[in-house]
Amino acid sequence: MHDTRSRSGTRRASLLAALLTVAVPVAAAGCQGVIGDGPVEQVEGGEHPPGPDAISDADIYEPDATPGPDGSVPPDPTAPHVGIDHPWVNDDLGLPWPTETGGGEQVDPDCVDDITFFAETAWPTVFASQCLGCHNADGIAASSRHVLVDAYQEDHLQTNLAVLASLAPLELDGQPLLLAKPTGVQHAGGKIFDPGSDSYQILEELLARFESPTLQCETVEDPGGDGDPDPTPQPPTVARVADHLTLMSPADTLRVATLSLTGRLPDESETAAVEAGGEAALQTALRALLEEEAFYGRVKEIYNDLLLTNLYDVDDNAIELLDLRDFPNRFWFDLRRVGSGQTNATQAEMDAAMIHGNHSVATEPLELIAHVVRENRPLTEILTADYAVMNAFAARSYDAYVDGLWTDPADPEEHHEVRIPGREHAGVLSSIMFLNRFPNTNTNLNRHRARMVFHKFLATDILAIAERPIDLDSVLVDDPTANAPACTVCHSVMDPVAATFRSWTGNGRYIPGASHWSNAAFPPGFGSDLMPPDEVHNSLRWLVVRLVADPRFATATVNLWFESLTGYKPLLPPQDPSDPEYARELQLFQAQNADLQALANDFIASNYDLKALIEAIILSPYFRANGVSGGDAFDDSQVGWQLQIYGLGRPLTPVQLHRKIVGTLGYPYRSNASSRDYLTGIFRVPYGGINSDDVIDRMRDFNGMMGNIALRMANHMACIAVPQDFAQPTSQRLLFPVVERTAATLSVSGELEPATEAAVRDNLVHLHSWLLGEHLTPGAPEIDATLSLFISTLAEGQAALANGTANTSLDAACRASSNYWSGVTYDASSQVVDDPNYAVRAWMAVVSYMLMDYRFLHQ
Amino acid sequence: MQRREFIKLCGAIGLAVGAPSLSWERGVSATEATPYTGTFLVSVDAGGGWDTTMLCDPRGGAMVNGMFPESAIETAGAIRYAPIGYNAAFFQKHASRLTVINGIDTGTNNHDVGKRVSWSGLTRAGAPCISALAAAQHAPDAPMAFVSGGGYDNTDGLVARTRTGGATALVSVAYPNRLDVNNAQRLYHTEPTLTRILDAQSQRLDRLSTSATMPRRAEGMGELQTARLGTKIMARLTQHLPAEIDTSGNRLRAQAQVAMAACKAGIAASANLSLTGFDTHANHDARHVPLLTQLLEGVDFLYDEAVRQGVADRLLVVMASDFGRTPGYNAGGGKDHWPISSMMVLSELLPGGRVIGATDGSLDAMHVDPSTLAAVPSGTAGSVRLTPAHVHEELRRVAGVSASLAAAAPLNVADPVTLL
Repeated sequence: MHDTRSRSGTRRASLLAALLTVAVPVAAAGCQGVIGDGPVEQVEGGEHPPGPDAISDADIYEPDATPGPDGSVPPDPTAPHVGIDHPWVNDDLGLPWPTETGGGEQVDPDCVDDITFFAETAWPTVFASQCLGCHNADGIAASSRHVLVDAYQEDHLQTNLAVLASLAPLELDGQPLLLAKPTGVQHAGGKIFDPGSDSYQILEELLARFESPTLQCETVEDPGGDGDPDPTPQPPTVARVADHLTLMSPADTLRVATLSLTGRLPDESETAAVEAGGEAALQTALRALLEEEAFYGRVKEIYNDLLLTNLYDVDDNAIELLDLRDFPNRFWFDLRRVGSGQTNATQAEMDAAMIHGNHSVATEPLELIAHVVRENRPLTEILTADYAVMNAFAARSYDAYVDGLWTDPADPEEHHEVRIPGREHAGVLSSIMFLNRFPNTNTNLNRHRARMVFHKFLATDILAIAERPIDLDSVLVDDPTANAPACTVCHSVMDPVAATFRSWTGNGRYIPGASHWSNAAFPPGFGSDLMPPDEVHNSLRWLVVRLVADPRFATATVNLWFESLTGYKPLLPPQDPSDPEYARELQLFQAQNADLQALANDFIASNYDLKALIEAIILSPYFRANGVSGGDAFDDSQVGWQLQIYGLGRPLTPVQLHRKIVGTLGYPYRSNASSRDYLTGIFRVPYGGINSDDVIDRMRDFNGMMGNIALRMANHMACIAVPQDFAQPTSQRLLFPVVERTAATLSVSGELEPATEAAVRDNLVHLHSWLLGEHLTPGAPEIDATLSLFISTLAEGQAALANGTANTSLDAACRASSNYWSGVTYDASSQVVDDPNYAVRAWMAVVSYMLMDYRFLHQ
Repeated sequence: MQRREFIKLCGAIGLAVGAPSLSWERGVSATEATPYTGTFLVSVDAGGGWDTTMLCDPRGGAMVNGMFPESAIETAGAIRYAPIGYNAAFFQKHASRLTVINGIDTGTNNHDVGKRVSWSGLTRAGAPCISALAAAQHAPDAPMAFVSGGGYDNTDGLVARTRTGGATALVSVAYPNRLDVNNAQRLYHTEPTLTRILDAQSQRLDRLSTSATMPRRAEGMGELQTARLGTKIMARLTQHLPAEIDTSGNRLRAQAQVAMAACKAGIAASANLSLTGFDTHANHDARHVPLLTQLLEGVDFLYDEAVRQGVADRLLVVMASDFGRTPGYNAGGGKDHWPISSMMVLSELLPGGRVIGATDGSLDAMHVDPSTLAAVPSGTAGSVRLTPAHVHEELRRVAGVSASLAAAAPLNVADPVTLL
């Protein structure tokens, strides 16, 4: 008999009292038919106070800084309310903390209460892994009385336990229903496990617990029974670590958010406004950021991670996907393809039209999304839009051009809503790019598309439903997708949605009435809804209305933006109860899931306002946390491990780093002004990015290859940006507003003159702030360290100049003799070609040092 | 297990992650640092689910395979193989160093789970692949410890994986201080200056780490510190890359060249090679055979490249797929998912010419007698139904993965079998 009631070394308190207060809708008394199932018989049946010190890793300690060494601030309960209500203010983690009862008494370590048994044994081992796939609201057993909810629903343990409690008294063929069904007795899903198996024994114990509950473990004075009270010190009782997090200051938050959302740094006025206005001003500033055009570029980047349609943004690859039978004028701009006489354009103009048109066709679903966000419409419109968004070049290819709609048809950035003749519109789902990126075949019958719909817009991994082991015999039946439980578990959910794509061919042609669907077992539908026959020509529109009404649409949106803004995927529920970390992982998952679900609820309540959601994520500790108040209570052996779900720490993506380089230095990382950017070109994949083709998951961990790329970037950009910056008037410089390149000669003793050193220190303060976001004083240890690098490089160089081993001229690649972009030669007095005292090269060393820094390369 | 936990584990077993290691310390010149010279594990993934009946568990006849009759099945020593594609060339050449394991029950028809269990032995999300374990064991701080060409390459935070992105990028970053990668004299900074910059950065990172209380930041700093350890050593790679990277159209070839150059350079301990497209639910024969040909030709090329580089005696190549394919065709001439699969191990480090396990007439897995390794009917007393976990228990052993590290992702095999 599997019995976990006794377990040494574990101490748990009970939440069953909470369970008993949860109202759970359970089917009314009486039998409801499970598909193919037989009848059943009803038978009898202390909070830790925050310490005075705020520990932070945000910045190097700087005693004179205000408000603190790192600008970080603890949560201010009196601060103006910002953003959507946040759940992390007063909820708890969902599972009990180890408790201390006081007076020398302790919870019996050999006791496991019911909710803990269910949470750590029965749920993961049996119900989540072997039942939930079918027994959920959308599953094939949805009409049974045994309908469970997944771990993403708050209180899922209590809800599911209550469902099972209602089934516990039922019998089938003289044995408990909960034991009979999974062993194959009148179970439409067949035999799941054998009598006597571990899973069976766990169910036996669960039933026994229903008979004789262990609601709460009793306390004992001598838990070991050996006369020696347990000497193990008790962890502090902390209601919630999130309450003790310190956050980035409003100004620092603005800096990180501005870089993340727009790729630029806040200007002085923006920073000053937030410094003066605090949290309320931060919220105002964030909303302004979300109106900038650069932000919409970020929106398109993020959604390309989902849709991967940028794959076609090369040459004429996207236009080629438009079927000639539907779009005979797709190459309207090309004399060679459409015949002479239709245009008198030059070859260069035709090439430009191809690039502009192809880009718009390729990015049509992304432009639609950006358009919805730009117009501040509910995000649901990305699926329900009855239009597409494109420029005039693409519109001509689609035969959707409307005279007068475009103010300047030659402007590739002018996009408008258009309807493509002869097609049903259902937001991005009807986009030819989406349909080609996730194509149909004769045998997959649109299932791949359906799987993508669930995965991308409903936060549901269809394949995860069927992770239980396959019984080979169970799939050896006629038409297994309809008849084998191991197959129908997925197909019953997926195939009805797949059938709604019935009018769409593999390459995205819309041919209503010509069914591309042959599986009669699962007609078009969604969940328990069957599509009415008269909707056959509007099947996708019928589907999307239901998709956006599903609360999982909000969850999927929250998940996407949470990962994109923080760099971390939302946690998955732990699966292996034998993992020693299981209990901790479950607590972390529940804590974060509660927060994310609250965000999703707020997102729905805001009428799907994406900008409000983004603000809420940025204002949350998942983005802003940079330390914790309370000191030693939060070390890892106690409760500090909870901190691992908060704050930022990932490397910037290659595109983000590219933008940060441009935003801080004024120049891109590329070979020359007209060449392609390295970080969006040959280094995109090695630096962890995706290519939208065969590399579609981002690498978030830093590796040796990335280290070398960052080092080369830092060296190259110092070589470009330092001389170019010195070539500008002082008032226009980004990097050197305080010093001149010639004023840095060392004395015989290897020191700078006091006035020069003061200026250098002031400029270093500026560089630390500008490039790294650190607020330091001229005398700070970090400034000393950077100054030391500057002086030692100066010393090396001036010695080399003196003995003739160094050249007074810069390498040709690092000279600023002309404007980087225009190529126009600078006045002789502005040119930076020579470096007679080695100061330019010393500053290059400093800038390299900063550009390869953790705080430059990471969020 | 997350990297954070692994770091704690490493402390327990004497490894160092996130702190300079003696063999890979930056500042040590490329010639002084100790290159990794141990077993080099290469995982070759046939993405999508391969048809083992067309490969190493051959079945003839129109019902199962329309391309050849049972009588046409060929052998290379003890290994039977299907008489199609590149099979004869591959099996005849490599049979002596090849171990075929048939009749492995992956327990799933699900691609995601299939990839995971086939390459980690575990079904849980996030389980580390065997290449990650090998790299974490032998060269966790090496600049390119785990070179990933795709496939299931989850590391569970045990070691950083590297995507090379092609030879051009590799060459460019191998010399990060050269203005011109082909000119050792034109530098961004003098070597003494660069050394000072890197030393200053290392010291600064130490200071930042000391004050880091948020685990995510501490982890990121540790990764950055580790990534910098091999700054100069990556240059070794370019010394061993072929003059021309293969562009023949077989995607495995270029991946193999980079992997073997990294092996030769001693800057990596494992690699993943990936070929996708095996999920042939329609028009199976016409689509699947060319893929199997590419797969075997690519592995053959990998071996030849290892010989050319002089590292063939270090090579441990594992070939696997998500699962197998049905013993018959669907209405579209395709073959659907089938949980019974095979794995192949090619190595001079192991006795070859062996076939372990088998399938029965229904292509169901037969059991294995753990003492004789003979295939026996299911239900035979003491026999074992092979799963990927059994194979991975053995792969971990022959790849030298320590018990301490293996404990990060325990396989919990109740009835282990000595297969390799």
